[in-house]
Amino acid sequence: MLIRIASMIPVFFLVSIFIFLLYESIPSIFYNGWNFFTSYRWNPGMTYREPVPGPFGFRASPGASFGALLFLFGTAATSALALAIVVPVTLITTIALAMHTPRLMSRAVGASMQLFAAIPSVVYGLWGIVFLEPLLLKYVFPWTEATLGFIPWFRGPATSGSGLVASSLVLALMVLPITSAIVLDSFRSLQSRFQAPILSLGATRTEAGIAILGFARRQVIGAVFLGLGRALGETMAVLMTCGGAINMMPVDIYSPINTMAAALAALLDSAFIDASGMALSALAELGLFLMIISLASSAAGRALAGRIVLRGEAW
Amino acid sequence: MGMRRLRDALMGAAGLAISALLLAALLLVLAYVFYGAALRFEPEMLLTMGNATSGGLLNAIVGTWLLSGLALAISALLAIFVAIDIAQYAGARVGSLLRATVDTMAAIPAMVYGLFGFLVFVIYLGMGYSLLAGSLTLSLMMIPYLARSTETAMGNVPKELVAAAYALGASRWQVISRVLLRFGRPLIISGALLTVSIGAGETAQLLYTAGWNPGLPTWFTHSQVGYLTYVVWAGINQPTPYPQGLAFVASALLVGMILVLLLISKWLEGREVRRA
Repeated sequence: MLIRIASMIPVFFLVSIFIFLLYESIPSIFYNGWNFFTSYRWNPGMTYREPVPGPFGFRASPGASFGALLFLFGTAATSALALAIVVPVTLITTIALAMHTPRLMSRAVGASMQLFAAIPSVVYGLWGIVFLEPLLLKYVFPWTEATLGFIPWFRGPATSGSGLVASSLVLALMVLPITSAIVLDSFRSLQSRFQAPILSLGATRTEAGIAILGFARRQVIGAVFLGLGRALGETMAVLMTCGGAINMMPVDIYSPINTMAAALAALLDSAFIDASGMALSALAELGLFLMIISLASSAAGRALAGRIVLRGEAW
Repeated sequence: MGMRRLRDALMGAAGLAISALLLAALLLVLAYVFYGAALRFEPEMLLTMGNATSGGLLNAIVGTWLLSGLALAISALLAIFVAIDIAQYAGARVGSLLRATVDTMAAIPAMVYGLFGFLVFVIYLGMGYSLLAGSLTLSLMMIPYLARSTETAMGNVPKELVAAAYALGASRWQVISRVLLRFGRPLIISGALLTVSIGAGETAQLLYTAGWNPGLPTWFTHSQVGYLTYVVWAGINQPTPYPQGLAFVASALLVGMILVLLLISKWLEGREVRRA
């Protein structure tokens, strides 16, 4: 039974990650309470002063406040916008690749998707900084200010290319390989059975494609959840393109923002110098919450789509 | 009728256009990285060690290989047993527990692993920023990839071979070591290469576990280690051209390494699939 003992080590790791983060979060959960989800002020306080007791007797530096609303909002907004791009592109390319395109073309797209999935997160971040952000600032934002400026969120003026739009576009490129691999795979598994009957009823190829996608509804929704799980947790590419906002809620689409994963990466070293330990605990709570929502999303996706696609394994 | 045909044609055209745009976007990212690196390349970048924003990349290149190599060794040790257990020993309940564990570990965000590695390996176990802390953290994220690919590789071995081995009186362990692992080897190696290619490109797990070292690490613990993805992150935010050049060259090196590993991995996989 040595094999069973060895094979249980990863199970032990997984359980210990959860228990450990929960344990580390306890001071923050009691000290911050619901404030954690309703306030956007994230401030470790005067860390050079003696810690003072707060709610439930947990101690933090004077003036400390740990509200993660900005990060929660940023994660939700970037993921939502990324999915708003990814879902239609996935559906249209699936129908086009499976119904309209010669085999060679669809295989070329498939191979390139695999490369998309294997490119490191920091390289997307670099590309976002040196290519995407100047492009947005010089050409796209002036246009949105001029044409959509009557809506307050678009009025501007934009002063930087980083923020919600850049992060979401980069995220969309990173999520697309996952969703499209699953959707195209489920589509192909139904195609041979349903394509000929539907076409013989006089449907066009597009109408047949839409009908077959309808049969694969479950897998499509599952793929979206799996993509969401990936988008929620993405760190480096977002950290590099989000603008690193802190203590300020975005006022329009040009504002800098921040996400849970990016904030964890950006704030961990400064949290370590807080002698009361509350800043570290608050980050552990942020990490725990991030883990729970991304695991929930992937679990839902796995239940619906029937499998999970690892990076680089797609296609 | 005309309307429907028109819509069909439009859909086909739109799909083709979007597919072409995706291909173009990928080529653009790759071309941008490689062209940018070629413009900024200087030989000393590959030949000397440096400080992420000055000097060369030699220490970061070696560090990336050390980190992902050690992480592969650690995670392979565990993942192979998980795969063997699922394939040969586990009943339905333990099997689904192990599969669920693997799938769940694959879905944990990189930064959560980074936070866990920092708190546990660096601080509580007292390893400090080091090769061992970084590799252990990286290995957590690699386990699901390896377990999955090893399980698939062993499942791919013909059932007749396994049955024949048992019929000849082989013990369960002999079947595992001489049939499943031996005939599954090409696919296991292909999965390991894919895993290393993903691991070499990771950053978030290493920021607070590996640290940075302008030279090479001297021991497994308490000696920090540099890596390429850190150079990309640190260099591109600098206002001067040389650190940005380092970031571009580091990116190109990473993407190049990953492409080579991925191609070998796919070639091995394709050869096996054709043989079967």
